[in-house]
Amino acid sequence: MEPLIRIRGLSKRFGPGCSRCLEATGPEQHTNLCPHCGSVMACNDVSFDLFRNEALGVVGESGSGKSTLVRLLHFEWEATEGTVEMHRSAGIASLPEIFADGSDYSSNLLGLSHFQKRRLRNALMGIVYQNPHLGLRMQVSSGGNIAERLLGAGWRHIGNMRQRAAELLKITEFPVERMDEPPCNFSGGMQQRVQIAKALSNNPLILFLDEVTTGLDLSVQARVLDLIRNLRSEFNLSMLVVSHDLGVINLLCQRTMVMKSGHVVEFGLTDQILQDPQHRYTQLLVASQL
Amino acid sequence: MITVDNLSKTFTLHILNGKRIAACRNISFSVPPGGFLGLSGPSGAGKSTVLKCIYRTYLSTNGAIHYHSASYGKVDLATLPDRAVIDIRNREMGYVSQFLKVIPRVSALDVIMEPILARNGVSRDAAKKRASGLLERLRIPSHLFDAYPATFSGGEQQRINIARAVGWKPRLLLLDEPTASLDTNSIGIVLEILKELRNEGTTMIGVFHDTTLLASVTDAVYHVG
Repeated sequence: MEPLIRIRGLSKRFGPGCSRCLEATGPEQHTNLCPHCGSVMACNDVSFDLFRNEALGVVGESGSGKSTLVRLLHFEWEATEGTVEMHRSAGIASLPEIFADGSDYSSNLLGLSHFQKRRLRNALMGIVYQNPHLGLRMQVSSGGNIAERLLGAGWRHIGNMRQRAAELLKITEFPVERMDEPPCNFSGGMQQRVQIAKALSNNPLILFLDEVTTGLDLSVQARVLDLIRNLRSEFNLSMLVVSHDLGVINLLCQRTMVMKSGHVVEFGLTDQILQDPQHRYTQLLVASQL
Repeated sequence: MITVDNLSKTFTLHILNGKRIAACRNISFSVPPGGFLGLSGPSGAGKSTVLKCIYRTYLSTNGAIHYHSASYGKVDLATLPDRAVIDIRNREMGYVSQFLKVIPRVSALDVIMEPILARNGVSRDAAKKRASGLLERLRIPSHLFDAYPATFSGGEQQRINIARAVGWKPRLLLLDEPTASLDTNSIGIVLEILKELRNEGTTMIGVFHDTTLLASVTDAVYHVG
């Protein structure tokens, strides 16, 4: 089976950059900060494939580049270098121009216009952030948060949007009778459920989960994870699961990549990463688990 | 069906200054389709390591694991790309570990039904029937069917583990001390189930602690050590 998206040589640098950035940063140097020019190499030469209906794990310490990777793929930040190509089977009817005749993969999505990127994101992607403030408008009603996303995906009928929002909130086990209340009225676990409902509202092919259970108490964490596991099989989603919690990765992902100082240092089956880690850093990570 | 050729596994522990630990060395054997090979040897000889290399939980250091896959033809499990290994695990290759490692908050019945539903393309009712049939045979009390296995006794967990691995009738089954924590009665039932599975064509490689047991269920024994 061919990958849904192919990511090659993806890099993100903050700062001017110099000729010595590459050799001065990375896992061996234990830093992503170039001492010569002060640039931060947040993500460096990241390449991987994401397949249909696959949950791919990304682990690594704070500052390893995990969230940067998600923000690049979600078109929130501009990549410095690299290509992201999507398989034709993703079926982006609204953007036929990105597929050259006869080619199975699109042109480099990172080179699209802002307008095209937004359409692509609205049609195919969903994201759930660790911090609900990033994904939700806290003062707007919970249902309104979802409707806003539906508007972006081309919905116009208020009654239909309301009905769809209620359906999604029901799936994510949110008290639907309270959908007119704003997210700021709810607990962190409930806010995550609104975020997940919002992320699913456009029937995405790809769901980005950025530390979604970090900071939730254990019983809530367990229920949110159960929800995500069920959604994956129900909605046929491809997921990129970013977490520093190996337990979360083990529960959700078949394949995992390990990041350190902006680089991917190891890539493998999740059980192999956990039981036979190869890289020095992965061994440290696994040995540090409680 | 499967030929292990000069397999070695060495762990390099970076956190202990690159200390190297040889887990198994120069392992070679071959198992024909429908065969049952037993692995014998003292504790720490590397029997489980061999199984984990075949299942790819461990990356082999040297050697090859030639497997004749139903969907991929002849492959080397030591170097096959991850995605293909996942696919072969999902369609053909089962593994019974020494300890139960299941998803938390899933009932005993669902633990066994899940691979049957995902892999055998049968209806929910049929999967449920097969799963509960197995649990009954393995003498798991029916009031535990919808309880979470994490709360079960060691012996009960091990039986759930076996039921999960055999329920979907894999083509190749790796068994790591499947009877270690079971009483004599349960061992008898497990062996009977394994025998039936073999009659349906499953090839097996197993580690058993008990040497008489090993000799009675397998048709060849390879000594690791």
